[in-house]
Amino acid sequence: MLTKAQLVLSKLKYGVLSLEHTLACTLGFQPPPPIDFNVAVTQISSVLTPKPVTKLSLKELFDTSILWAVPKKRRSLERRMNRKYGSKDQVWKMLMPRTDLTVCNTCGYTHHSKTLCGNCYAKIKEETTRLQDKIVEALGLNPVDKEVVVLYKGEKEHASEEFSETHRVIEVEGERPPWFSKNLLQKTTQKPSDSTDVKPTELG
Amino acid sequence: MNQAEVTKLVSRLRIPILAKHRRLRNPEGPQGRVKKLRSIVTALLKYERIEVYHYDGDEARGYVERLISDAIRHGDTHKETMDMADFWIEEKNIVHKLFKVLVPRFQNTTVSYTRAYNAPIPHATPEKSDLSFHSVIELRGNPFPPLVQRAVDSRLHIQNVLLDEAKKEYRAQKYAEIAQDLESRANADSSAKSEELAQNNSQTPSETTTETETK
Repeated sequence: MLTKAQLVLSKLKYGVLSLEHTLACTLGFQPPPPIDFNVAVTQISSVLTPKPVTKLSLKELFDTSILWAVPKKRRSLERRMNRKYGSKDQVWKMLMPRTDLTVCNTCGYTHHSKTLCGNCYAKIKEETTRLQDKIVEALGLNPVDKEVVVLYKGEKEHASEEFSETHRVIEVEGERPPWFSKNLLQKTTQKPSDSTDVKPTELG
Repeated sequence: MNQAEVTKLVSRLRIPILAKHRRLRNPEGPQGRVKKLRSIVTALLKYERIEVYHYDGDEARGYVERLISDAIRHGDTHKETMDMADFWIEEKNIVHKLFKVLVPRFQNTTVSYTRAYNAPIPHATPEKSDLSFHSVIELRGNPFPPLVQRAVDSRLHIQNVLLDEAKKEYRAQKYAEIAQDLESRANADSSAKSEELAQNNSQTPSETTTETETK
């Protein structure tokens, strides 16, 4: 008994579902099922009548719509590749490894082979501007008639009187940076050494 | 030939100069260009080391070279030279520097009076934008830290000295090994030969006996 009742119920349910589906398909709310499983359905004639297509003339088309710019010619594959990657003889857009970098002998940073080392130059520039400011401040607007010499802390004592007369000595606070060696031409600032040690020869 | 030598009329500069001047763009036109160059010339003589746009700096460098060269040739009593110095140097206390400091400094030199380097550019800079790079221009003999360290002979670097020594030692060791090898081989050869000889000597009489027996 129970099974019979279940059968009837399921049949009813299926019928309602299929009716809903077909109605939805015919009214256009759902796409029709694939042809293979299509069931012959007696369709309502009012639904089938096609909409009247209003044919727009060319003039109407131009007047009523907005025309966007579109490519007129197809770009050839070669041209597309050129636009994308550039060409080797003119502008090459691909990333290429640089071969013009070298290692600085002093500090070990890399830099372009034809330029100064950035790391060294930053250090030198800072010191140079400091010295320049000091010199300009010390000289002022007076006529410059002597060679300017910069002496760091503890270097004034070694300078001879004659040297101080012929040069404009400008003292800077702080010790001389270890990477800024003394000018070898300025012999008068330092006495020649008295040591008699013989230099070792034929090393290596 | 009573003609004056043209090459001696003007100073021969010690740096390469373009045949035609650069047309440096300036909103004020050609006058603005000259103004700019004058300021660079003055700054270079005043500060002795400056960083400017490459093209501006290179253009102004020639005028500085010419000024110093003329000052050395003619001295401060020459009217034209003094006029030129007065025109190109905006700060007049630097005119004194030109004749009293720079002339003695550069009198007996054979190289150019200025040096120019390419200022560092960031690594990521594409090569196209290198057109606007800076250059560092300096007068020689300035009191500032040197921009480029004097090149040291790389053979004297401690690493290279040590490596050389290690190489020498290794070679000496190898030669000793080879010599020892050769010696041992020679010894082995000689001993083998002597053994063979001994064997031959011992074998020959027996062979003869067998031969005789067969006969």
